[in-house]
Amino acid sequence: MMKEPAHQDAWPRGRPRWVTVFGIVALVLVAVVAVFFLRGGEHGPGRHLPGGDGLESHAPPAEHRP
Amino acid sequence: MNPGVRKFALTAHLTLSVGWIGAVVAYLALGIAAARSQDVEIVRAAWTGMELIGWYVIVPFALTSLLTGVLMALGTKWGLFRHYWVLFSFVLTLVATIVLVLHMRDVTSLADLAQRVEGATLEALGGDLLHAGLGLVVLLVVQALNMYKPAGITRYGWRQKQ
Repeated sequence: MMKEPAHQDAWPRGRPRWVTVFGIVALVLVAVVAVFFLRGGEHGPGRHLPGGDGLESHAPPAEHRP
Repeated sequence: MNPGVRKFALTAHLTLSVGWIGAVVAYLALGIAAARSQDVEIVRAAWTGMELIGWYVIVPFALTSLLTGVLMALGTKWGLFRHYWVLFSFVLTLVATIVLVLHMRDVTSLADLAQRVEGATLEALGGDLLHAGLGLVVLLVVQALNMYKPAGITRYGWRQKQ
């Protein structure tokens, strides 16, 4: 039996393999970051200090602003 | 977009994008110095350099590279959402720029801290190698996508083509 020809307007063969690979890698990376934050991982300048306090984020250095 | 404007926009986009990669490599070199040096003054100078390169070279290059990339996509046959490689380049560049701008606030804090502490606390600052390294990988992936332009048209692109 002959295969029915694909409809002219149909999207050709879905997405390429490299797109699927990129998507999987992106999902894995997002999952790793989500797990890190959900487990209470600290992310910021405070993590470098033994006490982790006394640091706030800053805008660009005032003395160097144009 | 007429050919003259397109050529100029492409030149600007390439210059800014490659400049962004080069600036991140320079930032990484300073980060390695900050992480490995035993000399307090070198560590402090490296953090100051990282802060300045970050705010005044990397961030402007990132923002203008993103802007010229969007203009190039919208002003040419490629479009922003028609081809997977353009879409991936746009999303990766956008995410990298957002993370960069947010992270630079921490870099300023750490550069400030580096001037005030010493000993084990100064060593604990490291050299911000993870962020810069991952950022460089993302930029190289985007660069490869832009050079190879792997085939693949999105559903939206296909509808536009009909």
